Amino acid sequence: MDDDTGQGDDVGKATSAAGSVELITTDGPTVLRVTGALDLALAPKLQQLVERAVRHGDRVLVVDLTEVDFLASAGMSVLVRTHREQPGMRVVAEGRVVLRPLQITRLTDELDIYPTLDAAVAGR
Amino acid sequence: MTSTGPGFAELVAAVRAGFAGPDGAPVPVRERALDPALVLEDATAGPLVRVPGEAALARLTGGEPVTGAVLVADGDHAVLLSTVDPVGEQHRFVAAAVAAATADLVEVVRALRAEAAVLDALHSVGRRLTAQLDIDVLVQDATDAATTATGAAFGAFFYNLINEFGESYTLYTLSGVPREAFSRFPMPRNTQVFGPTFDGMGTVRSDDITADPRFGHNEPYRGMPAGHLPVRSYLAVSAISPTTGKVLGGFFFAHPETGRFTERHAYVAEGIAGYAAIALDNARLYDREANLARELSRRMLPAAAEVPGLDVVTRYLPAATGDKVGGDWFDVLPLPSGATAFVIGDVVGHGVTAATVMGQVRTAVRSYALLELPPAELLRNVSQLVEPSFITCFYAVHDPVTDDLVHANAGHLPAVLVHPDGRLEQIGEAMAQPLGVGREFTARTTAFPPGADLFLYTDGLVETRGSRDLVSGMESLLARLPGVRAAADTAEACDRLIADLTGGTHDDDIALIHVHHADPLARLHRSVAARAHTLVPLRGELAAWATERGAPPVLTEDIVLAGYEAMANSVEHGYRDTADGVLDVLAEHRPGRLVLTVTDHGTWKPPDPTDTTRGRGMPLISQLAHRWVTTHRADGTTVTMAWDLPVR
Repeated sequence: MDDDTGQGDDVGKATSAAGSVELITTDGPTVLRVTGALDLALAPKLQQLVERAVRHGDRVLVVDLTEVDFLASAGMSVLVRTHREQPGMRVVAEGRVVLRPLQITRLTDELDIYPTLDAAVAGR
Repeated sequence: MTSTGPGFAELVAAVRAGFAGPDGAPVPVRERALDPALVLEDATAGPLVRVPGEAALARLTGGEPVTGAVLVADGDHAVLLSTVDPVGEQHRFVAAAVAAATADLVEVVRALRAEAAVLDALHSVGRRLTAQLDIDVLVQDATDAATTATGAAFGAFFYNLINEFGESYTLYTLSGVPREAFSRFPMPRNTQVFGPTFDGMGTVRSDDITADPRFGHNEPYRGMPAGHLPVRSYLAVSAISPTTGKVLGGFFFAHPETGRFTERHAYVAEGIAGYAAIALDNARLYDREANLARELSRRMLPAAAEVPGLDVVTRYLPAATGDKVGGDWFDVLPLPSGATAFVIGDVVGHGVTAATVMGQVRTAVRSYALLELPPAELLRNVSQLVEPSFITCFYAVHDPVTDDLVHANAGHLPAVLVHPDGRLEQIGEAMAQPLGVGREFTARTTAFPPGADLFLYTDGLVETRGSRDLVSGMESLLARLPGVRAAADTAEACDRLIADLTGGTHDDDIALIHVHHADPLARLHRSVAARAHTLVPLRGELAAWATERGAPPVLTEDIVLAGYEAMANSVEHGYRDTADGVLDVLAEHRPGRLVLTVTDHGTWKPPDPTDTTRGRGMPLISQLAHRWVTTHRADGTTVTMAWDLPVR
């Protein structure tokens, strides 16, 4: 697949037609905040930023899906892949739109899911 | 009757010897043979010896003058003896003596003839009654015949019938009076007068019932209710079943004058009651058999289930003549997968046996259908299950997702498919042998899209005994089906079709199923480039459309996600090698549900099964869609998904 929405991406942020990912470095874990649709278009962007964070040496990654209004299997694949490579990855997921696809595909059993960003950062 | 008295020739000779002149000497006597019918005004009368009156004599002699004449006749012969010589009175004395001597005999013969006539009448009433299977006609005929034969002013027959719930109820017929004369009165009860008749205790005959010690004891009327026709002479006989010994009913005869019913009348009434009882027994047995078969068939053929998107009309008409009821059946079965099975069949044979076999086969077909056995496999299993018999069955399953009709046919008449463009096609012709005979069955698939009609039927519709043969019957059917399709009211059009094809009478069962695949209520079609970013606005459009078509928010979310996954699959797999593929997205609102079809024209490469991080698209679809199916073709792939809309 060629890239559809390369414009406007900078080092810490990537956007697609209906969503965006922002890499936020904190004192604690590195947070990837996803907004809008985590779909076929945005999934590769998330993948790129995940890889960038991992290259940075960030051990604990938090993928914050609080602002996600559409979660497709393409996005879930990124989560699974990242989780397998970085078992410390935490996911913030709240609301039916995000939780239902995760439940259907039983990823709620596999991933480390927190209801809020604070809980995920704190790890409890 | 010549054997009952002296021979006719002897009688004539004796009378002839009576002709003598005033001097006592014999005179010449002329003998004329006559037609006995001209002489005997009463055909039942016995021998006759008489001096004819002047007018009669003139007629018999043709005006020729005679001085004396005597007529001698019996049922078979008649002669006129006459003389032209002067005669004395002797021949008159002889005639008077013979008449006096045979007077008793004449009475006996008259009585015997009357007896014979009654027996004849009784016999012919009996023959008529026992050949009658229609209870209403039968009881009326019996009441009329008995009322006439007893010389009653009016007669009635009260009889018990048992309805389908096993409850007994009493009906009555009247003769000699209009029904209104009794409609205000209650049914006769088991009073002292009526009781013996309803209890089968023997005939009650009274010259004056109002003087009978049993009369007038029961409340509320203590006799006859006010307004009752006057009754003095009373005769009542029971009709007792010869097979069960039970009292089937009672005949009652009445006359306003006293002393009208003789022992003979009672005898005749008893005779007619006996025949009526036999006839009632026959008619009831016949009715029971016919009703049982009809009831069995009816109970086993409940109304067809409602199927969203399919307008289904079913008809089952038991044979008009009772003994042929029972072999046909149909079924419309919503299957767990969301598909709909259509079944039509015919057990060869009729009556209770055929109805029972039909019930077994129907249950077997239903069971296998609900297990979603493919049509050919289903028929094979049913065929092995049924006892050696001859059962035809057409089985078809409509898949609402693909709109395919998969069908198999065990020796049944072909079904008729009316394509959306109006083209007629007979499907399932000569595919296999009937159930109970055939071992192998094959299935065929045909498209059954919106706008198409399917028509299934049994041979009673096209093969009526009489004028039409099967081929022309089917031609007539094919010629009329477009009219059924065009009709505003399909159910009414089906009734008319049956009436047209059978001419209003059918001597075999008729079953039919007419299915119209309704056009979608609304449609959204988009052809887009298969690229990730083009799917984004489509998602929004689909969500808005689903909401507008009545999908609640949660269902809309599922539809959009599942639809998106199907589209994403095409982008990822269907067109992984081409950059300019086109994706067709078709959403249809059909009655009760939304159907979403995503079609690509690329070549799918199945995802790497060892990559467990991916491949969650299809599992998502399978969980999100109420029903779904993927069809891979040489020129692309179609994913069809369906959702039931909540009932509002």
